[in-house]
Amino acid sequence: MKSTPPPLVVAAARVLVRDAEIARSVPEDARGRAVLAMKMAMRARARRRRFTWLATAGAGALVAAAVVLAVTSRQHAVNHTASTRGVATEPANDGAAGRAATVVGDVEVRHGETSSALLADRRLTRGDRVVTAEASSTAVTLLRGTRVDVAPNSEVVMDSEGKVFAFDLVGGSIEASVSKLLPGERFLVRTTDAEIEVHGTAFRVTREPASKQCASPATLLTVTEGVVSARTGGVETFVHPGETWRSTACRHERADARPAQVEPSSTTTSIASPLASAPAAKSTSNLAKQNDLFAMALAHKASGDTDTAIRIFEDLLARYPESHLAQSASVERMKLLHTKDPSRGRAAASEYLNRYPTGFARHDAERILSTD
Amino acid sequence: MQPALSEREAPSSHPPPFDDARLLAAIAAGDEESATELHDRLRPRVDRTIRALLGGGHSDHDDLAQQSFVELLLSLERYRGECALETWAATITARVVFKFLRRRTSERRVFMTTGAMVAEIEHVGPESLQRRLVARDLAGRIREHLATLDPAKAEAFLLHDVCGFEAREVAAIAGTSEAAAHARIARGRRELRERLADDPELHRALRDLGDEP
Repeated sequence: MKSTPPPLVVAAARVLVRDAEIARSVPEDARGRAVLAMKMAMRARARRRRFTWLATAGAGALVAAAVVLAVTSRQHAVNHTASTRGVATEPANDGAAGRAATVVGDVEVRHGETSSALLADRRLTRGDRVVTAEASSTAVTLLRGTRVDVAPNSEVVMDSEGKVFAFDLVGGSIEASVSKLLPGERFLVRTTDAEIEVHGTAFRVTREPASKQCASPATLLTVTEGVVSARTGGVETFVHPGETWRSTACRHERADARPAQVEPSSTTTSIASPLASAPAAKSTSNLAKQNDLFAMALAHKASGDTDTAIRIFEDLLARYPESHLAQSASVERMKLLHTKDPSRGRAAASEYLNRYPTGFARHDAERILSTD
Repeated sequence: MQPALSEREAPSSHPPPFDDARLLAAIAAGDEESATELHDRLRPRVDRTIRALLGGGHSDHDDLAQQSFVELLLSLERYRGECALETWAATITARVVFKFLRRRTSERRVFMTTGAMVAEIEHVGPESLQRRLVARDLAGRIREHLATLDPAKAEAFLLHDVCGFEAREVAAIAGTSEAAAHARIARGRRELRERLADDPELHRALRDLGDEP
């Protein structure tokens, strides 16, 4: 089906084409930022590939304890094939909260007052409570390859609805491997005292009972890959690969420790005014983490998830105030805030000009400050 | 209608030139310096596509270009050489721009002109400056009319008649069927023609342009 455009429209199109072809030189700072973003994306992709290769080759022990546990758990499942009721690899694709891909040992599913043994390939819906006995486990798959392994002696309630994939961890431990989320999608693990939200790909959440070291039960988060945000008591903390976060302090820890802690070296991130709070944050020279954060924020920005992009830029600024990416992150944050919340955008512009009075984006900052 | 930005190359079975292959191989191997080369090679096409869709001097131009290059880099694994690398870059850029447009639909500012336009063309020589400012003014007025159209139809017109994408490519970028893309293009043209016809001054200027050799 071809139609001939009216001459007037042809003339209009020609004007627009000519207008688009008026060349301009690319500002050096814009070129530099674009090339830097490309390089960050290349590094992040290379790291993801290396990680996949290592895990596939069985060298996960070199990566992180959480990966070791994941491999062990899966090997355990293989070793107990005799007791496996069945194996299915199809993910949930019918709007269900998930599907039991594998079931090892005694696993029960409860819904309201009904209770039955969980069989492989069973569709799990919102409100289903999965309970694993000793030496028993199950793997729940969601759309696009996301997988949640429920460890022995654990209890988890499916609470997914629409684009929000949520699990309430009552006790025990689950390990999640989360595929890339689409815009609007969220992946959450909730406990009684914490909410864990994924921005990366692999992490482990454990509900620890009270013990000699910890007077009250706590939620323990170990991140293997990517960045995961943990919220408790109204405070949001970004946890990075190799770090462990605990929802409450334990007795052996120092008296002035904050309720939520990240080990070994992170700080709790305040969302407000990262430039102002920067001196309180520790500065490390871990370039890979800085690059990862910057690339991840750009990816969220590209996908339209502005809020998360802003939070990650703020996290980068708070954790690495002297980073070589700090100025670029400040500029990105300022521009995003300007589109979301002009008053915060102006505040960010003011902070930027205070810190970088001759910075490459000073004209942008001045323009933002001059807007009503 | 032969529209569109220069260097437009229809999809074909021709393999990409050797330089493209070498560049893509270097990117795939993780050679970061090749990112600079890829950027400089494709930046003109990316810029032109953004200007064609949003107009010149848009305040988000550089951000959109940056996002386009990140998307381009991450999508290169899917590039099979079925079209020129520039065309691939333009397609990715158009997707990024329309994702942006859909987020900003309510603001209705995307087709508007800005004061930055004049600053942008300050570098041209005095002889052509006046002609370009006139062209800019015309383009700005056309975009004001485009902003009053249904966004989907305006997008289809811009992609097809200004950027030079085939209807099936317009469909892929807009996430619709080819038949729907054809319909949007036709309706977009018809509605734009009606708007232009109601603007006697612009109508006359465009008619004079049409009479030019």
